[in-house]
Amino acid sequence: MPLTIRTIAGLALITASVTACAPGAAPAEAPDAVKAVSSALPTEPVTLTLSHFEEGGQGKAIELLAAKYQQLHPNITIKPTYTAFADYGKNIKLQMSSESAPDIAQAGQAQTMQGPLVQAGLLRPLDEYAKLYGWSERFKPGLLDQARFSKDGKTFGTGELYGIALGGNLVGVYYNRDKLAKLGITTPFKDLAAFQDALAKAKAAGETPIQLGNLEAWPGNHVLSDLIAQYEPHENGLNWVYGRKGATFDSPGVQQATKTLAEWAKAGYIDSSANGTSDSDGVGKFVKGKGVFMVSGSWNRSRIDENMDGKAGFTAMPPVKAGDPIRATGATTSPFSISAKTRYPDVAANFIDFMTRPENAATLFQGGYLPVAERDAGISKAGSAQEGLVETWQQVLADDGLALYLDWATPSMGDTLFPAVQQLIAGKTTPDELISTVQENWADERGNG
Amino acid sequence: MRANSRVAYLYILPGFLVFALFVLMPLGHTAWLSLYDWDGITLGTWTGLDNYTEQLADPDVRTAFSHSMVFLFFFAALPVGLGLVLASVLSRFRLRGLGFFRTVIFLPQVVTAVVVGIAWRWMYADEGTINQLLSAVGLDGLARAWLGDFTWALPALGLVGTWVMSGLCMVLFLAGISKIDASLYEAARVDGAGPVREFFAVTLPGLKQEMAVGLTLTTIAALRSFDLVYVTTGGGPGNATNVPGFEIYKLAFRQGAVGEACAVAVMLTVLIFTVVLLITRLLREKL
Repeated sequence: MPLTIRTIAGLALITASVTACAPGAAPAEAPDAVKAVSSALPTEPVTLTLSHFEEGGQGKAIELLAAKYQQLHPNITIKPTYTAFADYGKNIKLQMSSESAPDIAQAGQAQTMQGPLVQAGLLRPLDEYAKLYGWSERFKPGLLDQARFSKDGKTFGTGELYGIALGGNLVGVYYNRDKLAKLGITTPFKDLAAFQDALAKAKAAGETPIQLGNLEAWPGNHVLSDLIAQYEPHENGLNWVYGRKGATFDSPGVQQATKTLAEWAKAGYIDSSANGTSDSDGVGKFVKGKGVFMVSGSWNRSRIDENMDGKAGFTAMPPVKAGDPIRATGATTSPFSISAKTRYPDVAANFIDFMTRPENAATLFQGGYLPVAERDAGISKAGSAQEGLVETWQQVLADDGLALYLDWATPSMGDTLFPAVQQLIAGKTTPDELISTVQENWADERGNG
Repeated sequence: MRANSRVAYLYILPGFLVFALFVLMPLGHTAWLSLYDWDGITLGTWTGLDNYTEQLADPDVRTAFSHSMVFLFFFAALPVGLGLVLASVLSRFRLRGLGFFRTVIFLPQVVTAVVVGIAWRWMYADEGTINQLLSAVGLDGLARAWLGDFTWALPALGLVGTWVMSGLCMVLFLAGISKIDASLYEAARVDGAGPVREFFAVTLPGLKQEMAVGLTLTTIAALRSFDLVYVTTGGGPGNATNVPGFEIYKLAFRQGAVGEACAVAVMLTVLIFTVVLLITRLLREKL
């Protein structure tokens, strides 16, 4: 027995000494600032691989565009590979640092995917291509900024461009048309006060004003952040998400928004089972007629339209002051980046450009995207939630009013903020406590206060 | 003799190599990573025991460990108690369809944790089975979305553990009882012992080994629980059902704090070893 213990200890020691150096790898030599970028394509046969996690119609749209591209350039093959998001996020770092890294890969904004990849020198900066293809004319600055990173991968929102997205998403207000008609409520709301009146009216009529499935904790955060987008000046909100010095969550706008959500919960405007109902079950309840409104994202649109067939609508969370520009929680879909290891960066950039060209917006739209480049990409069915969603998307895009997602601010922001929102809705924490918890995390991770 | 024991070690060697490669090495690797500040991709920096002090000071981590203690009651103490009662009752009476009951009670063990979790998530929902049952007996006032309730979410998950683990304990103890010499029961009866006395004088002492096994298995399941929390509440509402296993997952896979995650993992491993060691020590002595 003593011998075995000694053996084990010895073995552990050997393990430790053999590997006694820091884990991980030093950043790869940063790729030379793209040498002589060109839009000219090679004439020899070229095959590029593209990794993505776009499901269903959106994934299909990418395949369609790859096929269309090959028709135009018979010597070039683009091979899209789909991986489910849950696995994709865990593997992307390994995949991109491997010898067989894909040439083009989807990499989500902020610290979860893009940050570590930039830090490890695995992505190619795209600014030269942006100039070559005129991307800054095609996309509003706010759409490109969210794919920018400092060279050391530490701060985002400024710095070099590392990706281009095909579409976007946003959070707004779904509503049940039958119930609005019965309650005599009309949309769009001219201001936030009008929306709150509608909530009070619904409550008084014995309805559940806002349906919410918040078991996963992040859906409730979208209600809060859509309110923050109204109360907090747009620039301030972006500065905070981007982690810029001096930004703070403890501002009058955020205070007002957090207080408003707490009041809504207290007044019974939010389904009392919210924290014990999953997001998907919450949508299920709304579809079945429990809830006049649901504050949720564009990703739930197709399920709602399919199940309510003309009985659902979508409108923006209205601004505090009537007539102010429309703001919404939202962002582009995860951008496509070019691997620092690819032999054909010119081809990769050309294909990314191709996917976002206005003439291809219709393909993206049919796949379920809200295309970022073209405003009139397609016609939605009259009276559907899609109709309102596309209209809201265009309003937000027109003024570059996407407020991004709060949990992008730091790697642990989601795990800090989301449970706090659950507590706020349940009356277990106060707006002030929520704000100080969140800001503390921000200051800790950002190293500035 | 000495040469013989050397040969014996040689026989163990192949098994030990596999064990070392797949258990000891990863364990050592985890312990080693726990001493670094590492995001899982770029070069890590040595921080010594900082990860440990930092995590121990974190109220969220401490709450997670305290939730483990609640799970110990629901996953280990309760099922072992229930298992004992069920086993001694089932073994006393010649029930018709005993095999059927045994199978039904053991069934939760066979179902994957993810399926168990999703099924219970629906049952605990505001329009789920539990609330339907409550309102059927006129207890509408108690109905709530159980997993969203700050007070009840943790016990609710605990009861799922009880449901899963009781069958295992019962089958274990039934097998143990069948091994107890029938003459002991006869002797007890001749001496005028009732069923309760019989249980404490004959059944319980005879089941010492099975209880050690049962307690060890259920304790480990309680302390390392992750899947149930992952598929039902994700640690919520707030942090009301967060457990160390889930905290490790959050740190490593969501926050890219691999060093901290490893530190919590090492602490959890040490805790499990300590508790299991205590159980085996205690049950080796006379009951």
